[in-house]
Amino acid sequence: MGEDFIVHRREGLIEAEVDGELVALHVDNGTCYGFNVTATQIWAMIAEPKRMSELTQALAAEFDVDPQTCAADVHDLLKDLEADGLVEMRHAGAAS
Amino acid sequence: MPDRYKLFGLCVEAELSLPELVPADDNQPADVAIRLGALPDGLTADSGASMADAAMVLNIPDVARYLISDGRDILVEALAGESERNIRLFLLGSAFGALLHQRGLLPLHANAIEVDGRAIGFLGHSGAGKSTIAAWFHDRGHPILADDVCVVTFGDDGRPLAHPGIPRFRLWRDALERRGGDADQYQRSFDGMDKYDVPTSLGPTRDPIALDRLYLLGKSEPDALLPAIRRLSGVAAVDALIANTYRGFYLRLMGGAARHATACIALARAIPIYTADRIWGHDCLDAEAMKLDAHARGVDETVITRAPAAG
Repeated sequence: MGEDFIVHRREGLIEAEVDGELVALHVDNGTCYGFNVTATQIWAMIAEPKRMSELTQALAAEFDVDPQTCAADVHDLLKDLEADGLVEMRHAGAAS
Repeated sequence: MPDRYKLFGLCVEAELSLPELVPADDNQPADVAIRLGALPDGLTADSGASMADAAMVLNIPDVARYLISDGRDILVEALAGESERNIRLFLLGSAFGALLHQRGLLPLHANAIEVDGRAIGFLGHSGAGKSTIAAWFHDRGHPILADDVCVVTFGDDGRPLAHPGIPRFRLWRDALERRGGDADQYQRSFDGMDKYDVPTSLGPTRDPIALDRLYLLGKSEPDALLPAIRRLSGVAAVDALIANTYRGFYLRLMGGAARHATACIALARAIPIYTADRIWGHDCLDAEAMKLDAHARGVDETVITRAPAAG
């Protein structure tokens, strides 16, 4: 397993459901993001900070996918969310 | 005694005459005071908008300087010899926009008309055709609720209300003449500009009315594949409101972006927002506006598609 991260929601975001879609809005720059189903689920799971490895395990179990593929997908998605300034990822040492 | 007017639900007391506004008909205390005088020393001479503590300074070269503070006061320092028309244009535009943001109100960059007791708003940047469409509706008997800026608040039941703005529309000379008007009989919107203020002939609306829906005006090509009118949802709806907030960029200078974003989200949840792409040109105006008219009177989810082009 690769490196693990603790995933936080970033501060300064406003989120709301609009027409069944989860919308997160950056207060600083007014940029608005729409979340797909998986991102919406991860967002709900990180209401409290979570390890990426925990997220992966829960999602792999729920969607019955192979853990390695799931880990790669979750990592990519989180990196996208991080790049958009929606989440913060802090190093948490090696995954167990 | 200063003159008193009603604008966006506020009672405005002004030391200069504002003939485009509706006179206040009651004795409620003034919410906004517009005074004439020199701005304090030491303020920036930079053109455009800037902050001086919590107040906003608006510096329009060759016209006037405005100091907007506390969501209540506008001090106007006019340049000697500048025409009142030009001074009023920026006073009732940008300066009032800053004041509305200071009050935490949501000013949309929209024209609004009244259809069967409900307000319909047309969102869009300058040049999107807001006035042209509003004028078309006006000429078919619909009162104009607001020109260029439409302030939206939420009632006790959470439903959005559109407040009466300036009861007029502004048209370019060619649009005026096509409508059968003589441009020389109207006031220019700005000295030297070939755009004219047209007062509404249907009488002003005095009370806020329920905002039913918004259309974001755009341009389409005759062979467009997407429906001309389609509903925006989720992010697209919220984005349309944020991007079409009047002088929304002032919020970056003065703060209040979080409150503004929350209001935009609440509005996107409360009413349908559509894009309305129309084919431009005076020859198409009637046909295109009739589609909007039919849509605005129809059921929410009706999507009007353009008939496929022959061939």
